[in-house]
Amino acid sequence: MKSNAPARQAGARGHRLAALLTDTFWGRLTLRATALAIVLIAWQMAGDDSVALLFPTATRTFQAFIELMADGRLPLGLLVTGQALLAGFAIIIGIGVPLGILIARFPLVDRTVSPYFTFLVAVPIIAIVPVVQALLGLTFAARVTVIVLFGISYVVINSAIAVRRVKPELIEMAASFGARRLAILTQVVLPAAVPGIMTGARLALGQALIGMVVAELTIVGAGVGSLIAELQGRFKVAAVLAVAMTIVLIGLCLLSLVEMLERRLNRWSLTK
Amino acid sequence: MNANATPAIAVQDVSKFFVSADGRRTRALDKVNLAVERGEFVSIIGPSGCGKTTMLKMVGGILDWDEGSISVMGAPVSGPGPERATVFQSFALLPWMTVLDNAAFGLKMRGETKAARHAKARNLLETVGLADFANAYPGELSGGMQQRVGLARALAVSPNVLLMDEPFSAIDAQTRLILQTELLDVWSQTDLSVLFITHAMDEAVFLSDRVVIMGARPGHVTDVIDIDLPRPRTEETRRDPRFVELTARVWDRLRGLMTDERAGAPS
Repeated sequence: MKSNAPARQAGARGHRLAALLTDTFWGRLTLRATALAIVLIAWQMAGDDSVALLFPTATRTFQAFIELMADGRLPLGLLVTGQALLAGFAIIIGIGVPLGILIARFPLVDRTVSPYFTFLVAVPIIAIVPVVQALLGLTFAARVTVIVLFGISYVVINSAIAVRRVKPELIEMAASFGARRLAILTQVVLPAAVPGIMTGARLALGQALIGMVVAELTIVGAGVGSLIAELQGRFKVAAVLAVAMTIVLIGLCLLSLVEMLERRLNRWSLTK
Repeated sequence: MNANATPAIAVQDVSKFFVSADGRRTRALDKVNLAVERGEFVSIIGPSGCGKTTMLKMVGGILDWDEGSISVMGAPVSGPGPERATVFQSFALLPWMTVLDNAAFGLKMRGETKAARHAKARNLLETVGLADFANAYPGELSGGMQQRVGLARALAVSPNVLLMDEPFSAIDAQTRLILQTELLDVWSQTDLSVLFITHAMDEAVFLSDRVVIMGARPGHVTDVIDIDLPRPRTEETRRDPRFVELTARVWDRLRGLMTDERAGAPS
């Protein structure tokens, strides 16, 4: 029995260290910084800078990033792309949420409109990008349309489900206190549906980010997707990687922003 | 007839049909007659499917009926009205609103200003013993406390008639006894007329002036039992031999209806 004691103690120390790393802010920071350092070192070792075509090291990629920032091509690309994303996402929310509500409230709208959104979820959107291009040309509108096609069904379907799931007794309660249809919609149905609508918005943003890059890789523009296509054509692998990683990082930031908003709006639904 | 002499709730020969998916009409309620006098406390009790909640919704004005007439405070019912307020079995609180805003919800629907409705709601939260929880959210409260908010919300609109749809059936047995006594306390300080739906016999007897027993298939009134227990009713009342006797009488009638149901005979 007694000989086990030191081993147990060491085990307990290990647990305490693990707890320190996961449960405190500085512990978590240390953990993440270490993981990041390991990835960067491995990347540095895997890269080969002898020929421009080969997989670049971390330093060469970072240099490419600095160059692209300095000559203004990356910031300009991000600005152009950002405009399309912003316009697309605004349309997704502005049309998607009301449409979802209409689908949930009126069976006629549901019957006529819903199949198209089910279709949009099921079909690979990339396959219809050429159709959009044929219809709208190589324009800003075409790129926004692709983004909308990628994301909108997630908002429509999730909003409709959220509105349908509002407990009927809440609507009955409001009616019993004399609430009219509009008041029931704004005071009961919409607030109750917010968590579901936010879930749809988060999923749609992820899809819109993909749509944004797809639109630019296929439809020419001045954005980051086109920048990637152009750099790729000139075999600037490090620069391609730098742009791609910038897009991923910005995408992650946007997603955590929406998640944060979602948590704030949903506080009440988590207390139950 | 003098206006004061009209009952608070008068249900006359009311029938209701439900149309099933295959288009068949089934009679849900058959010529129901029911009166709640002003200031009276009446309970409806009956097996599930006897239409007691349907009855309450029709009096509340959120469900239509097919034959007969219903009037509240002398005026025919055509939708919800300011003289009626309902307390729901599931509490029906809005989880994103604070306790105070929930208690003030009915007043908000009536277009009262924020200051006025908060003042009234605060008063009633005090009455139901929840003054300290005004800023809490419903999800943070126990079932008993949530239903106190439901009661405060109903009382806040100063109704003449209180409709209660199995309000304590989702609440644990001990809390339920306490809420019954509290409800009688609140009611005795007002001139409210109460229609109370329940499936608990002791609850019906303890609270009511009269207990209406309904049978099923189709829903109809089978008995009305006068509860002559003295008021105010307290915990002592529950040990009163007369209380036990009346509860037994309600059970005898109900058991008769249940046996009919088991035999599959139309009652």
